[in-house]
Amino acid sequence: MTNPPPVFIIEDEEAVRTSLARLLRAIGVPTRTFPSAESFLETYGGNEEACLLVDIRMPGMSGLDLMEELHRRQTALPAIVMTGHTDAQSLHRLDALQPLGFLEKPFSVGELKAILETWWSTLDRGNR
Amino acid sequence: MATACAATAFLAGVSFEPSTSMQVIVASLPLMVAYAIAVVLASNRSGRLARQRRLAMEQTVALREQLAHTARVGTLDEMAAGLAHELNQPLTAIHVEASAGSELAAAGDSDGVRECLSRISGQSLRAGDIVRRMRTFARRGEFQRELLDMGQLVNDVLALLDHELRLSGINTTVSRGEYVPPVMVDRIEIQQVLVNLIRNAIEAMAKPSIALRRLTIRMEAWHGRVRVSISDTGGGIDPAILGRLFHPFQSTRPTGLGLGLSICQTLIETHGGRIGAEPQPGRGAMFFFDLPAAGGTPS
Repeated sequence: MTNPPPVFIIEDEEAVRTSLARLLRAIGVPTRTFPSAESFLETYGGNEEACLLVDIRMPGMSGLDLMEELHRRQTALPAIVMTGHTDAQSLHRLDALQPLGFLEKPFSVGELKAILETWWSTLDRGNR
Repeated sequence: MATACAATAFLAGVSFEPSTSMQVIVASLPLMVAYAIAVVLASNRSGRLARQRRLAMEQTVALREQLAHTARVGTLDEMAAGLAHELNQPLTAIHVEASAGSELAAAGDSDGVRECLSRISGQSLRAGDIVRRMRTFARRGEFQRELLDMGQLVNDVLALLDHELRLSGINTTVSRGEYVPPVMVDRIEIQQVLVNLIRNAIEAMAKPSIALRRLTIRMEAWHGRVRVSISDTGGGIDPAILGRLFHPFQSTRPTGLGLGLSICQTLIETHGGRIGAEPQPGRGAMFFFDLPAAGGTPS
């Protein structure tokens, strides 16, 4: 996709966060990075076409908490969720949030690209 | 032969002259034989007792080592999800950096590629460190004392528990007195005590109602000993169980056998140390242990 919308990377783990930003920039996707859900909420005003790439397990506010909070504020964004392992309760909450995709660490970059492409194709259809 | 007989008979309480007739010798033969048998039996018996004592001691040591090892494996099992997550972070970063590197190479950005390679190198070392620490902790080894620095032991354990501490939003402070002498200890067993006490502290601060989550580890020289205290800002210790805190099968958890603190006590006492707790009402709990200070410089 030419000029894809930005991806907001919300991940407490520095190594993962910076590597994802480097990769996405290398394939022409603009990114912004946030080390916590709280720091994202502080700066996010809503009404932006973007996608979240968010870790579920984070100290403080979790990725799930963040997605639910955005829903409450009616500023929900499409989201790709990442996690190490997920318990049944979190999976149930995730289902209700209908994320674009789900990546279990360590995931392959191919999976991430495939989810992004699916998202871009829905945007293309919307634009047409 | 006569001298030997005389000596034996004398020892057996029979007066005996070497010059007396053959009759006397023959008459006293059964007594001498009985004595000889008694001596042999007695020496055999004391040998057997010593052997039994040694065997019992060896068995006690082996049992203690086995119990400590079983507890460590149990702790690692509880920590497995967190450690897997911890290991997945560098693995994810390595894979993503490698993909980014190949994109950058295709674009001819050699500085970018170098940056990716250096990140990959760092993250693979990090993954190796995690595996090494886990393996050391789970090792089933013979009790082996080394001259060690308590600060290093604390650092190793904090690295092992980093994920749990971070995810629980706990602020950790480590402080050490001006001079903390080395200790002569088994590395794994003291790490086990530290892991146990710190994980208890993490659990004590897990309740959502606890806003301030601070773990303070303090090391100091204390009357020829090294004293380590671990304080949390959790709910404190129930006064009702304070007296039997270190007894086996005391647990406030729904899962777990409640052997953790009793094993800690055994391990510390094996090292000639003492362990205890202070309830610190309204301020959380403090556990402490001390170990004899060793001379010299840790390797």
